[in-house]
Amino acid sequence: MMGWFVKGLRGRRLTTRYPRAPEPPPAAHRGRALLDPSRCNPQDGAPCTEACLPRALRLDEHGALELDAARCIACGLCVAACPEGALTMDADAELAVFDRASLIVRAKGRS
Amino acid sequence: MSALPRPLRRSIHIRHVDAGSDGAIEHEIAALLSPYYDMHRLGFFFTASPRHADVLLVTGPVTRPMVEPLQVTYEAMPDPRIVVAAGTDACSGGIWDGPEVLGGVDRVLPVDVYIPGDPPPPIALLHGLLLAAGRIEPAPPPRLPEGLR
Repeated sequence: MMGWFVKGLRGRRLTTRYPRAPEPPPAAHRGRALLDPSRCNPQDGAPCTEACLPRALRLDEHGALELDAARCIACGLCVAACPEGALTMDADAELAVFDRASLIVRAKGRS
Repeated sequence: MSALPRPLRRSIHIRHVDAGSDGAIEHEIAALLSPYYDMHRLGFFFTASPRHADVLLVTGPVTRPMVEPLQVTYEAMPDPRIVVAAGTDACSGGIWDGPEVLGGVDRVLPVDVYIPGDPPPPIALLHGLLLAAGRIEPAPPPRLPEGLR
């Protein structure tokens, strides 16, 4: 028991200093999918929408791709499905927002 | 759609309600009490009574039997009160669909802070709680990695 006490005194502080210091996300953490609207070209039925289980990715009535981060379960299947490479996974964990609408990203539609 | 007023920001009591969660986020919430994250140092405490709570932390896609308990809990809380939807399920229903789930806390209660993530790690929960407390600013919209430009 004394050994643990000495070890505790010698060791550094264990507790994170968040939010005063930035905290790296957990290893191999997938926070959300990021959509690059400039590269998105949803023709041929947009394979990412078929790979997306919770329907976070869908085509709206104008044929534009819509990514709803509030529905995304961060599985990463859309990244492999996208032929243009417009989707990536982001490890960021600080994603909380005040309004639901700011979680939705739209790519420009084909007209 | 707002944070707690200034005099109430330093000591915040949280009532957690599981509205049909799969249990993943409960593990992340339990980790907030661990020595590593230690949310007590920031003035966050869990309370068993909604009468003592400032923040209602809801997880799960809101199953039909949990609608009334959620409303009763919300009505028992004193003003000002904040509702935090934690996890993809609570934000929108996520993968859950059908007549058994309502698909998101905002179908029942006015949600103030959304924490996406399936499940959100403890840091994401701390970020959302600090945002609800008005002690940090919301994160800026994401910048795409360099390789994508």
